[in-house]
Amino acid sequence: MEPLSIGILVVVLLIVVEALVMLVKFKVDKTLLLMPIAGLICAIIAFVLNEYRAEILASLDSSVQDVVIYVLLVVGVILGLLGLVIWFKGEKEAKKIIDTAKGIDSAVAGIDSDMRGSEMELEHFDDEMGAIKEKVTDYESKDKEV
Amino acid sequence: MEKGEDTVNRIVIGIGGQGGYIVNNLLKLLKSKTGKTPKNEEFLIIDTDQASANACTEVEERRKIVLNRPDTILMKNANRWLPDPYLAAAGAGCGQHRIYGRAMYNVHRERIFSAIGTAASELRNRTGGKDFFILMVCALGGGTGSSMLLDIAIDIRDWISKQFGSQPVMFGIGILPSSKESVLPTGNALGALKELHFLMSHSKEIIIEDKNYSNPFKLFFLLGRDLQGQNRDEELERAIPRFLLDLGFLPGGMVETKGKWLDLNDLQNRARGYENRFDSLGYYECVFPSDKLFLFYDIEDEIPVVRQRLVEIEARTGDIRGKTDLQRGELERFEGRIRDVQREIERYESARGLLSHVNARATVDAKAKLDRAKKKLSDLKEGVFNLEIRVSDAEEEKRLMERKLERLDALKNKLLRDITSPENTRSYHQIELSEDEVRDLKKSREDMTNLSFLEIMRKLDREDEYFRWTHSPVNEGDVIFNPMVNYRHAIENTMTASYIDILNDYGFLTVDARGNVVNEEEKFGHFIAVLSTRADNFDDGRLGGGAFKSMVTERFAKDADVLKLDAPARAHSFAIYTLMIGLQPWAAGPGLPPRLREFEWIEKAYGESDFSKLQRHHSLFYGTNKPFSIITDIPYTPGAEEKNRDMVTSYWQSYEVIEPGVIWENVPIVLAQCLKMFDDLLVGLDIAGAIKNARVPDPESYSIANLTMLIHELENASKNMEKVKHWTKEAGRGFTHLKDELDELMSRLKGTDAGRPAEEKAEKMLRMIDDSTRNLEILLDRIDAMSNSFSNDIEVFVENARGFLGNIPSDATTSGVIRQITKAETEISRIRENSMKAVNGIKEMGGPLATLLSSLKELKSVLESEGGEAEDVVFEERKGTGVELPDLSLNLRRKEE
Repeated sequence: MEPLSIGILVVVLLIVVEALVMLVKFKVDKTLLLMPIAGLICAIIAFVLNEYRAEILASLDSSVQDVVIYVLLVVGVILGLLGLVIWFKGEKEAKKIIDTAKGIDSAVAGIDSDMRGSEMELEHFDDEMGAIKEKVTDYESKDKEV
Repeated sequence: MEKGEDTVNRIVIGIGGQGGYIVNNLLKLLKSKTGKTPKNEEFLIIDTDQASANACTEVEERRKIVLNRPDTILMKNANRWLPDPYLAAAGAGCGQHRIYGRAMYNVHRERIFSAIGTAASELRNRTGGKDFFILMVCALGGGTGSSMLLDIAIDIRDWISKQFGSQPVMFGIGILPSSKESVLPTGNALGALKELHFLMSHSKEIIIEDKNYSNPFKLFFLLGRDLQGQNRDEELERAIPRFLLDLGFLPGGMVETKGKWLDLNDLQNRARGYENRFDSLGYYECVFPSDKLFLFYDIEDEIPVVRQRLVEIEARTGDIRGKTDLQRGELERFEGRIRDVQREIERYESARGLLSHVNARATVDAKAKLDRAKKKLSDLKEGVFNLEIRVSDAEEEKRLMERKLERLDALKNKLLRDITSPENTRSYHQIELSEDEVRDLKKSREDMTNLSFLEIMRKLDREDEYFRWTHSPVNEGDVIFNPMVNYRHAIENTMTASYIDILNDYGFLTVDARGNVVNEEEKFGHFIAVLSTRADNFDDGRLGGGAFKSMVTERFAKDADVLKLDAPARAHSFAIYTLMIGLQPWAAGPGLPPRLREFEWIEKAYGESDFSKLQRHHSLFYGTNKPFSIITDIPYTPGAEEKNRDMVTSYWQSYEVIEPGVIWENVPIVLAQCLKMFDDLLVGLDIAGAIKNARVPDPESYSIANLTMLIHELENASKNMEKVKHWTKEAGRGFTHLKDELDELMSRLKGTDAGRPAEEKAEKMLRMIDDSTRNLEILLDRIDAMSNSFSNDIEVFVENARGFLGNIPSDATTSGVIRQITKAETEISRIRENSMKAVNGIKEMGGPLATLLSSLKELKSVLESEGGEAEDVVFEERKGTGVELPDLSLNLRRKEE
């Protein structure tokens, strides 16, 4: 096997790994998987054309044959990379949203705990004022007794 | 009494509105002292007014016996004797009609006994003791209490005796109405007192129809609402519970004391022999205001602390309010942000396709977080709203606190006023402290708790004042004049000195070295003073208990005791409780006021009711003809309900609250009045006779000076004649009054089982009658002689005067002299006119005097028939020395009265 075929095969394998990772690990939307799959198909076609160049591309000039194979390979690579870029972008946006939601959530929780503090403080005042009131009533009732 | 040893079951029954109120107060005080009701004490109220029963919040519901008004048919069926106008009552309860109360009792008798019986049985089961002490409290002027008291007392005694085999010891407390109350309650009080006295005077068992009609009470205390013209409700309210609890009538709430002292048995022993008489209580307390001082100091210290704390609270609530404002803004901002993020998520999610990637898990997570935040946010918004309300509430509360602080400040000032210028009454004295003393004592407030009243006063250098207010009331005998009724101890306060002198001359009373009247008959039975304070507050030397006892037994009571009660809890108070046993409420004699002043207004109100209205004031024996008839020996007609009812009313109308034997005590008073009047009459006749001594100048020696002198003599004679004319008129009235008194006295002596006076007394009375008879005979002679000579004496005087005027020379008759002659002639005609009336008056005295003489002889025969022969005594003439004509109005009372 010639070196180009090996290179194309590596690209194919990388794209397969990418697609599998995106499918299994990232659980991306199936539509997004079309991108690396299309890239994979291009790379496979490039590999097949390269391997069977004599039979399939015999009618073409040798330099045109190379161009076709490389173009397909590059398209495959680009589609593979594009898939990744789109995934990254989506993930980044999701992270931003989740961070914002988290921020709001924690800020609200902060207000909540602040309010609880105020409530407790007010409760304490109530108790204190109740105690004062009781004391005053006690003094007043004692006054009636003495 | 040793605490813990007491197994006597005690039942306190408040009947009617005031009775219930007193029991409620008693319970309140008891609970404040002990926190609970002792196991051997039960408190019941019986009332016909639901509202007043509801007001007794301290009394257990099951111990409230509220009697509803039955319908008129049931009422009539149960009480055939009840007049139609009283089948229903106006107003609340019994409408203050005692007759209606009696009818209600008949209807509800079983219910009342079931409730009292349950309480008694429960007590018996709890304590195991079979002895019962029952205290009954009521107002004597009301409808319910005063009408049911006696029936309940009789029935409950019989029930307990039969049920538990031992007779209960029963005490009663009756509140007398004030002089300002209306006719109905005031008249009721006399009705109730008559019936009560009737029962009390029957000491031996009278069993009729299985019911014992003898006196159920060992002691019956009368207390007045109106003392010396002032309303004393507040004092009664304080004194009755204190008395009952502190003195151990209800030992559950007794002040802790050391040693044994007056217990129920002691008290019964002291009351023995006086069960048929009323009793009263007295209460006096002198206190050092330590409780007020401590409270004042506490408040004084507390106010700045509270004020500071309120300032802090105000600052903090201000902060919280600022914070909540901020938080509200924040929450609104976050609400907006949540909406933005949600939109962003929506946008993010909507960008699906080949060229986009959506992290679904992240969006779900973000959404969940946002939802949670949103939910919390709405909760928080509500929370902020609530917080704002709570802050407002806290601010409002703080403002309230500030007002309370102002009240506390006012309380502090009030306490200071109370301490520095207390409102003291006859029965309560609080030591007055200056502001400097209040400040100084604060430095040693810790020590003050342990110091005694005496030590504190010593520290203040006011030891003498302490003794003046605590020991002197006993030492100087003031406590005896402090009962909770208006009681006159001696007739000396109501009788003029001349009567006292006469009675003293005949040995009916004596006058001691200090001029005080001593009359054995007037003394009440037993006086007990209980001094309650911590032992170190007593100074026996200053107290003079022995001297006090001698003074009391010499002048006021047949027996007296001063008991010291060491009450460790009373470090700063000195209480004097007095018990007056065996009072004599009636008047000492005709024309004298009753010793129990309340009789003055209750008799007046009772007298205002005519016969048909009188029955509303009575209760006992209506409908129970047989017992009434047996006890009083008045026959009744079976079936004639109205007639029998009127017979009972008529009996009560004529019934007097007096012991029959005491009527003899009136004889010397009436005779003293006779003697005084005869003395006065003799003196008056001397003065009238003195007119013949008037000087007329010699007709031959005319001068202006002599003419002036004659006119002066004529004027004097005219004035005297005028006085003699009035005086003879008064004398006629006085004799008639005296005759009436004598006749009334004799009818009372004949009409009641007055027995006979002691031999010695009978002799003295006979001496008085003899002296009066002799005086009367002399008077009749003098009057006879004088009525003949008086006209002649006047005629001679007038003729002489005329002779002088006729001899005035004509050349001397200037216009001035003519005026003088005219004046003289006017006086002469006036003298003639008045002298004729005076002579008639003197002649007319003979008639009443003759009837008086016959009355005196009749009295003598009554006395002799009762007491045998009296010794002849030498008549001793009394002669007045006054130049003024004596007062013949027979008013025994002193002018200051």
